[in-house]
Amino acid sequence: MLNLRHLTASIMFLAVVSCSNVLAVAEMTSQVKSIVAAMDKAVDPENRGDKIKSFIVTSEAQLPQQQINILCVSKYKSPNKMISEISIPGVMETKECFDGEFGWLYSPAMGLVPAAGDQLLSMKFMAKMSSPTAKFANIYDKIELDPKSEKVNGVDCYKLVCTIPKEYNMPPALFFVDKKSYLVRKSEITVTTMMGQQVVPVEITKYKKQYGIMWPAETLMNSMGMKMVLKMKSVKINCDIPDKDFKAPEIKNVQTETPAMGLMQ
Amino acid sequence: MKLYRLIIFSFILAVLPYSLLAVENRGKAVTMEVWNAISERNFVKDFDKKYRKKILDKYLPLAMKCKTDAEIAEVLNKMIAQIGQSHIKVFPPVGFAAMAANKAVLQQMLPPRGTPFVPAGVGVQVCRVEDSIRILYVKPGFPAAMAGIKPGDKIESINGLKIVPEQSSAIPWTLLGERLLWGLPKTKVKLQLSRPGLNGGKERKLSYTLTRKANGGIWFQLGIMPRFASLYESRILPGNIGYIRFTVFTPAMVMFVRNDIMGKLKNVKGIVLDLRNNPGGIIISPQFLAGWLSPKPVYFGQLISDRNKMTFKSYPQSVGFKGKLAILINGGSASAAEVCAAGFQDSDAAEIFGIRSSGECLPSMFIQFPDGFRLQTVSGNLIRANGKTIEHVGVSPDVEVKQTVQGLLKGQDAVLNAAADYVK
Repeated sequence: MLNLRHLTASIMFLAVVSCSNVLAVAEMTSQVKSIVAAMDKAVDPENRGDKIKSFIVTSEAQLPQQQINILCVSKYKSPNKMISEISIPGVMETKECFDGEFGWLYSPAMGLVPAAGDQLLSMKFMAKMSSPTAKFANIYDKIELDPKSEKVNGVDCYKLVCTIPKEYNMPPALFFVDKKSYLVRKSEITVTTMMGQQVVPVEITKYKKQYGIMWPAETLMNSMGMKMVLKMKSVKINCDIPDKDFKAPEIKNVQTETPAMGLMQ
Repeated sequence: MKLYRLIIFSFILAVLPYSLLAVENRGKAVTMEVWNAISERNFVKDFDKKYRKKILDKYLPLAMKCKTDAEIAEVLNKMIAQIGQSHIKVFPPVGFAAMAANKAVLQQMLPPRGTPFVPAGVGVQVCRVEDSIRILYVKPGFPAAMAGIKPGDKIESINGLKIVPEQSSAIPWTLLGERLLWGLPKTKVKLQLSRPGLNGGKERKLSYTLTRKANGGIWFQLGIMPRFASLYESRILPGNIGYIRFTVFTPAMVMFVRNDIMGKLKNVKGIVLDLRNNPGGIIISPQFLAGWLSPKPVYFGQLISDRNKMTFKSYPQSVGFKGKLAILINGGSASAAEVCAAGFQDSDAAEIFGIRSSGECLPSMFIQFPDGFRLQTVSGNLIRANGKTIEHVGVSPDVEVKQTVQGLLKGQDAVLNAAADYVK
């Protein structure tokens, strides 16, 4: 049995984390304040985040050991609409969306699943986190510095423990921040998916400057014994994304030939 | 001349230990990479500590003595068998030659990966009755039907390979039998059958050479997983009962079910889902499938790994089927097929008919190593919704129905009939 759903869920999360450059101020000590200010500057040195109203990030996820490639397109529209479209060509495609009020998941094989409860709250938080204009003060209630610094891939990092507002019912998020560059090297966030609460550890191994902002260009996740590398292929900023792109699809009959053709070997 | 011989001899003497060392090192290297990969991902706590001395230390010296990759794979598969978990297997770099059963299947000479082609068959479904593999169903209009093959016929051999279910096999004989019948369109398959006489009459030996025909199946391939032919079929049985069967669990197969639920099977009284000889597939597929086949949520249990617990349940679709459902299982139903049957059973969403399933049910993944070896290994444990495991236990049917030779000879599929009666 192969667990594809977990993969796609993880990629959706990776895509969101990759898109977010949320670094700002909350309840914190002066030391943490200075770290967060440096993080802000490292990611958005020209302070261009405020000008971003929408973006489309196209990425490719690879499972090198399994030789599986996955395509991912994440769209964000201000203030809080987001959709991730994941496809394993010829095998499966899924969409996960938060339209600003409601959340839904869709795949032609699964049908339409409205998000509810903690799952909806997680999606809401992820949409908020994705906003390039959002500041930590608007996102986390409290940011604390763990006295123990940690190494991520040999790099000395600060470990920040970020308390998520109660309304989202999520445990604290962890960020590991490079002590030299002040870029986030690793994050660990617990989200609720359709399969329950999942801890999603993500390592950011490469950044790329696009439109003056440092975007995570390569991220790595190691979960359920599988390594997944997500590489950003392109970023489009302030493109026109119609609201209908965030609307749940209607359940219609589908052409059976569509998935079958892609599978022929 | 003598000097020349001496030089060659010295060269051999000098090289031999190195080449032996290289072989020994390969055996050691492969064993260690396989062991570490299994140990890292296994759900058993302190796996390495628990099994290293008992299992690894015993098999490592044997693997180091192996001269070929096939031999290494054979030793490693013996080592893995000691762990006592399904879904862990080592494949040598060149195909699956070390596994006798799979080797036979591969003898069908399929084109290289990536070559577009459609699978074909002769139009039969097989089943196991006691220690024999027999024809269960003959599809009208297909080569087997045209040649006069009948339900109840015993398969003696396929393309010269003896079908001997009394001997243990890496994969169930029913599945092996079905897979050997698959191949490329217009290729030949030789079948040796025996047909018992009705009511104790004299047995007849029969021999056929059939030409395979494309039957709408597709080849499924995902990454380095072995590719397999997936076939979907549905029909309406007498009494307006829908019948669905597919040979492997994939989202694409669920798409066919979805289409039928909204189309051909929209107005049937009940549905029989035939999971006999279904070896499983992608674990999310039962969850997707249940959304179309049950008006209430179906709980499939939890997948437990090192850090996470994943709960699998279905999300009923508004246009999904709302009538009675029966599911057929047998000893060839494994993995995701068992998860599916167990979930419907635990959620009181279907009645299960047939005999106990195989009990080979652990989530797994495939890994390709740089030296060409491939490993299928376990990545978690699966606990069904009733709190029990399926691994080694299987799923017991709600209604046990066994096939009989005499019943098959009369054209009766006892399991299907019992299920159809239930959903009527």
